[in-house]
Amino acid sequence: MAKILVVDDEQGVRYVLDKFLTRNGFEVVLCEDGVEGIAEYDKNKDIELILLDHRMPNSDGEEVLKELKSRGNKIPVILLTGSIGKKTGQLEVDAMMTKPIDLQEICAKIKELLGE
Amino acid sequence: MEYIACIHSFAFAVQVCCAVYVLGKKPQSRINRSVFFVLVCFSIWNLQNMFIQSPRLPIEWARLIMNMGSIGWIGFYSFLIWNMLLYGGRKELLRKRMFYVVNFGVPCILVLFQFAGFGIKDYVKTAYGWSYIWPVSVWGYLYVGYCVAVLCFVLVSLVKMWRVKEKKRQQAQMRIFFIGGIIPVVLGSFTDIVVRSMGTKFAAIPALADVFVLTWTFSLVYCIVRYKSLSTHFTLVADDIIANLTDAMILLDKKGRIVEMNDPAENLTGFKTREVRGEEAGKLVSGKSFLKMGLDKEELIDVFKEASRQATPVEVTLMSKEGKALPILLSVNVIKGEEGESEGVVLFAKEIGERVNAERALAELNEQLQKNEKALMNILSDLKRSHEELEGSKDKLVQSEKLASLGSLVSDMAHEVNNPLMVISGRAQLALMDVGEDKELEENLKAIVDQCLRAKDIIQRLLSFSKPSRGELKKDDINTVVEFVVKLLEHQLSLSNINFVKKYGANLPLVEIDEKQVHEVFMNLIKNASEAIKEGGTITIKTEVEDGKVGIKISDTGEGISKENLKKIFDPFFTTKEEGTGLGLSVCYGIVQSHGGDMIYESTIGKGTTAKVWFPYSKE
Repeated sequence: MAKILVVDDEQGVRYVLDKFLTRNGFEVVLCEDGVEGIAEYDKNKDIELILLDHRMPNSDGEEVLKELKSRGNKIPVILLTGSIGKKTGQLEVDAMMTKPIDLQEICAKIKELLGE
Repeated sequence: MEYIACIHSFAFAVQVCCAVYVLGKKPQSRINRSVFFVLVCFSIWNLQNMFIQSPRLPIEWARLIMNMGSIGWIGFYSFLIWNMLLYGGRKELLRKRMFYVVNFGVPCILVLFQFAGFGIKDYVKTAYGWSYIWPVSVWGYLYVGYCVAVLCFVLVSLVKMWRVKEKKRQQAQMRIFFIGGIIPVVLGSFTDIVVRSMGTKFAAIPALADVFVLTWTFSLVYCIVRYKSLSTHFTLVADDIIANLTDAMILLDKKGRIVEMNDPAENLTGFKTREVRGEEAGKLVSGKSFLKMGLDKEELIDVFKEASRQATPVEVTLMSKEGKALPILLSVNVIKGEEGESEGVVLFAKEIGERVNAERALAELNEQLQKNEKALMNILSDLKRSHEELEGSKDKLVQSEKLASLGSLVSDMAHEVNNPLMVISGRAQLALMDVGEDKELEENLKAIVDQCLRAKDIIQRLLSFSKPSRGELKKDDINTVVEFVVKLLEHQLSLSNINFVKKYGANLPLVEIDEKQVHEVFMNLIKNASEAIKEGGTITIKTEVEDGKVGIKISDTGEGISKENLKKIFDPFFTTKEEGTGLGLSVCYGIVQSHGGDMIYESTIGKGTTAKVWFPYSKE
């Protein structure tokens, strides 16, 4: 059962992703901001994928990515964003998806990145 | 020694002739009359010596003749004083009766004393006749004192009048009088008084003062001949006027010879009066042409007469002493004598150069003024143009700022809305996983998901106009890009009787564009054009190079857009259509701007609308 770290400040989004991913056989770790996300990342060495929201208070997606890079992160990251533009296009992530996300689509992307 | 008497006889004849000449020259002049009396006294004096200095004359006759002669050699002083005062214009003294009493009274007393035997009475016979011995008496001292006083007065007056530089004529005359007078004063005093007082052994030297005064007589006559008059009262006034003239004045006699020039004339010509006096004005002077008119004497006189008659100045060329040709305006005034005959000509000369220079300066000033006026008009025109451009730029800036602020708002709004949409959509999708056989529920849930996706699409479109992100750029021929869109719509629009007129420019420079986005722009513009045409019409598409950019003009023959709506045409959400988002042209504007281009709309109600788009050339 692959462990997925979900970092999003919106409670509703966390609920939906948690329910959907759990029903699809994934173990989900939920965080509501970037600080908590990094803390969980450091604590859970078995995380296999990160779903990261772009805009969050208290350390947004870009800062989390910097922290992950400084830790030499090798885990795939999927960025959840409102739009894909020039700025988001420059971020070093494995995939970007615009909200509202098609859950089937995100499930397929996760399985692709995990090599399933 | 008869020749001594002959000398006195000669002097007598000359004095008489001169006296007659002076009086005859101007009998009404008091100055001439005073000089006449002086010369008469000199004549009497000469007459006396003619007889006394004759060896055969008896002593009694000598005494008588001497007494008679004293009228001359005593009397002339009073006339001399009178003459000097007249010449000097001492009117106030001449009005006083006491002056005449003293001036003529003193010599009368001296003559009476001479007759009474208190004067010269001792004589000594010499080879040339009787020589008198000067009396060492009260009378002798009185007479000498009187002579010295008068002569000093006269000489001082002469020097004073000579030093008045402004009155040149008077100055010249005084110089002549002084030189002419100093000789008899010095020599005459010596031979007649000094020698006589030294004793009888010097009696052999004849008294010759009466002969020496001939120099004074000659100087008087010379002045009359040269200056035509001894009268100076009027000429002093005229001298004042002439001296204060700023214009050059040249006086010619009736033969056209130069008589006088004032200071401005001397400055103008470079000649001093004395250098040219007497020379003919129209002829060469010492190899230099003075008044070069190219005329002979007769013509010159005719020109003068004509100019004088018309009272208009004549343009002539004056050659200065340095050989400089000076164009001058000559005003000619003929001086007429008492019987109307021409006595001479007065010329007033004004350097045309001054007038020409002034006129030239004025013309140059006018020209400069006109140039300045033209330049000012150009500046005003440029200013007006710049103002219009500025207004246009301001409008564009306001538009851009409007879009930028709205874009920022949309971006923030999009991110805020996306999360709730995600929740709605996500919950609906989760619910769909457990919907079972309930078809209606399944459809409702699917509808929720679909509408969320639709909302996402709208938001993406909103975001795309606020931050138009360009895809891959490539060099394109704009004609090809436009034609692609026209081909897509041509058939469909022909069904609505809308035809295309294509005016594609040849050899247009390539433009670097995101072809997909620019297709969207032209699609939007052509659709708008077609919607404006109600019952058939034409859409004209023209491509050309304009102001260093590639321009595309899409014109329709539709109903046109009002000025009020034209101002808002690129505003997001502005639309005149019933079913329109009002984002189409905003998105197009954003796309064109992101390519470094520009876009405007022009319209006339009832005639049609033109959308103009410009893209910069490709850099290579």
